[in-house]
Amino acid sequence: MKPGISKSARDLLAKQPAAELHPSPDLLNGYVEQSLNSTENTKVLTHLSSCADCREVVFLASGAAEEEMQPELLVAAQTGPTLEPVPAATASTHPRAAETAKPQPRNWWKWATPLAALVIVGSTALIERDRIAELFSLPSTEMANVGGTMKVAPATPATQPQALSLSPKQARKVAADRSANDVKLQARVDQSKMAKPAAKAQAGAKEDALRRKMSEAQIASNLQNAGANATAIPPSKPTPLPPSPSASTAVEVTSAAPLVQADNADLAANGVNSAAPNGGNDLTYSAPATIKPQPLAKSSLVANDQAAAGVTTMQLTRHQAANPHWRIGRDGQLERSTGTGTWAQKLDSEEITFHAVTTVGSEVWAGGNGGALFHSSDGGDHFNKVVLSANGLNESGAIVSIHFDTAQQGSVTSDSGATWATTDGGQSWSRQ
Amino acid sequence: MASVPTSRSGQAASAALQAYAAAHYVDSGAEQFGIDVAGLATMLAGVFAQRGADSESEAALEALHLEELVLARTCVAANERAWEIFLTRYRGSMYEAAYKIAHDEASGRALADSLYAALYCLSDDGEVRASKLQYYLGRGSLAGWLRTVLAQEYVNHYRRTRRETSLEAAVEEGKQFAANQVDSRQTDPRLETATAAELAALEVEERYLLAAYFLDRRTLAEIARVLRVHESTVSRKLERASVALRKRIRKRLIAAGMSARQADEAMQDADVRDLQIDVGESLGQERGQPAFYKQSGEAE
Repeated sequence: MKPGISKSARDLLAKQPAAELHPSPDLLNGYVEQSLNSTENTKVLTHLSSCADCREVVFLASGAAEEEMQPELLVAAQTGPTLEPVPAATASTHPRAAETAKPQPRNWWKWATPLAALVIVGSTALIERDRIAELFSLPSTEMANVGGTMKVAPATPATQPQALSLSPKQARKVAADRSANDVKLQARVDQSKMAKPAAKAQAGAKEDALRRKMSEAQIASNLQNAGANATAIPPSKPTPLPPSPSASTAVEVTSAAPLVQADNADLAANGVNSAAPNGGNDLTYSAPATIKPQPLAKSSLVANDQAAAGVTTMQLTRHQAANPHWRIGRDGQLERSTGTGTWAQKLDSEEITFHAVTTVGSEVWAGGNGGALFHSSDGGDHFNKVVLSANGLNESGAIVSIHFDTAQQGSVTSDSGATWATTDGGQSWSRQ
Repeated sequence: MASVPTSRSGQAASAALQAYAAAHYVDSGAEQFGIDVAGLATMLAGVFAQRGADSESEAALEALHLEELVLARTCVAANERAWEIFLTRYRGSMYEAAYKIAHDEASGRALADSLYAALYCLSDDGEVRASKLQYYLGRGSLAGWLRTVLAQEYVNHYRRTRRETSLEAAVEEGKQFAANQVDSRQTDPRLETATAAELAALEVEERYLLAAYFLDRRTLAEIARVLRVHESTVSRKLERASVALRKRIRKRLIAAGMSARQADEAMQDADVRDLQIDVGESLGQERGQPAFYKQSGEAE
C-alpha cells in the first residue's frame, strides 16, 4: 500500500514554524555522519523536521558524499588505468574516521541475500551428494592387504572374480545390493543428464574415458600385486569427497600405503554405469584411511578448475601490471602502482607538490604547483613537461584539476580560476 | 611559528582535556605544526567552549576528529605547512563535491571558488574576514564539513538569486502572473483542529519522514541514505506513520461529532503525489515542488 496523508495534514505540516537559528554546518555534518550524541541528534532532527532549507542542505551534502564513495577501484581493474583515491589520513589515524569508512548496514544486506542463497544451494548439493553416496554404501568394498600396504582393490566379482575370495552367501548379498544400487543410481544419473548441458556431458564423458583407462590400469596393477593371497575385507563405510561438483578431484589415501588414485575406479568396479555424465565420479569410497582432496592437475588429465583459476589469476596480474594506478600521496608526491601493492614515486626529481593526476589509456597527465603540468604517453615511464601558455600568458597558479575526455581533448584548471583547454593532446592550449 | 586561534585560546583546559591532549598528542599531528601538549589542550578548550555547555563529555572526546581539527585550526592560524596539507587532501574533493552539488561545472567551480576564498579569509569583494574553518568543531570529518558548507552556500545562493530575479526575466522565462485564486473550498474547522493536534503529537522522526517524503518529495532511497537505513525500513516507517496519522485524525473527527462517513469525506482529497497540489505558500518555500536543483534540465 502506498503511504499517504491527507492534504490538510500536508498543508499544516508545511506551515510548521521553523526555528530561528539553523544548526551549524558542523552539527549538520555530524548528523549526516551520525557522530552526534543523542541530545544533539534530537535537536538537529527536531529542526530538520520543520526546516526545508536545512533538509535540503543535508540531502545535498549526503548525496555528494555518497557519490564520492563509489567504488572506482573496482572499475579500474576492468577499464584500465585510473586515479586511485588517496586514502584519507584520518582513516588510519582516527578510529572514528575508520568507523565512518565501514560499509553501511544496507550494503551488508545487498550481499547477505545472495550469500545465503549460495550457502543454501551449496548445502543442498552436499546433502544430495551424500545421499547419492549412500546408494553406493559398499558392502562389497574389499581391500587387499598386500605386504602390509593398503591398496584399493576392485570389488566386482563379475568383472574381477579372481581377485576376491568371497563366500557364496557374501557374493549373493553383494550382488543383490549392487543390483538395487544400480537401479537407484541409474535414475539419478538420468536426472543429472537431463539437467546438464550436452556440451558439458560430452566433456565429462571424454574425461571419464581417460579416467577409466587410468583406473583400469591401476586396478589391473593392484590385482597383479594382490595375487592369490588377497582376502576379503569387511565392507567399509563410504566416504564422500570434499564438496566439488566437478570431476576435478581425486582422493589420496594417506595411510602407510603408497598413494592410490581412487576416483572413477571405485565406481567402475562397483558396476556403476560410468557412461553417465561425469560417470558419477564425484562420488567415491575408499579405504578407511585419512582422505584429503588432491587436485587432479597433478595428473596428466584435463586441466581442472583450479588450474583454470590459476590462469585467470595470472591474466589478472598481467592486466594489473599493464594498467598501473596513480595517486597523489599525502605530501603531494606523484605515485604509481602496478598492482603489486607497492607504490613508486614518479617525477621525484621535480620539487613540485602535485594536486591532480588523470589517465586516458596510456596517456598520463599530472599537475601541481607553479603551473607545472607533465604528460606521459607511455603509461608514466617517461614524462614531458608541458607549458600552459597562450597569447603570451603563462599559467603560474597551482593545477588543481585535470580532465580529459579523450587522449586529444581535455582541460586543466588552476587555482587562479583559469581553465586551459586543448584539442590536440596538449600541443596547443587556449585559456578560457 | 603558528599559534592556535586567539579568539578562544584563552579558555583554560580542564583536567580531562589536558589528559586527552596528552594521550592523543602523537595522533593529532600537532607536533608538526609546532604545537605542544599544553597548546593542544588550550585549542581543545576553545573548541568545546564554541560548542557550548555540556559538550565536553567523554563520548564527545571519543568522537572528536582530532587530527582534522588540529589541521583546520592551524590553517586558521595561517600556518603554511597546514595549508599545503589541507590543499593536498581536500582541494580536489572540495571541487568535486561542488560539481556534484551544483550539477553544473561552471556553477560548481564558482561555488567552490567562493568557499575557497572564504576559507582563505577573503570575501568575494576582497574584504578580509575570519576563515570559515574556525567554525569546524570536529564533530564529523573535515571533508564532510566542507561538503555541508558547500551545500549551505549553494542553498543560500539559490535563495538569494531567486529573490533577485527581475520581473522582466521572469516574464522572459514565460511566467504568467495570474490573479491570486481564492480557494473556494470550505475546510471544516474540526478537520484543521484534529489534524493540527495529531501532527503536534507526532514523534520528531515521523514528522521528519513525512516532511521529507511528502513536502520535499525525496525518494525513499534518498531518505534511507541520510538515515543510513534500508529503503524498506523507510517505506515501512512512512506507511506506519501515515496510516496511524489518518486513523487518529479520523478518530478525533468522530469524537468531535462527525459520523464515520463525514469524517472519511472530510479527509478525502487529492492524491499526495498530485502535481496540482499547492502547498508551497507557507514560509515562502517551494514545498510541493521538486527540489530546486532538480528543476533545471538536469532533473532526474
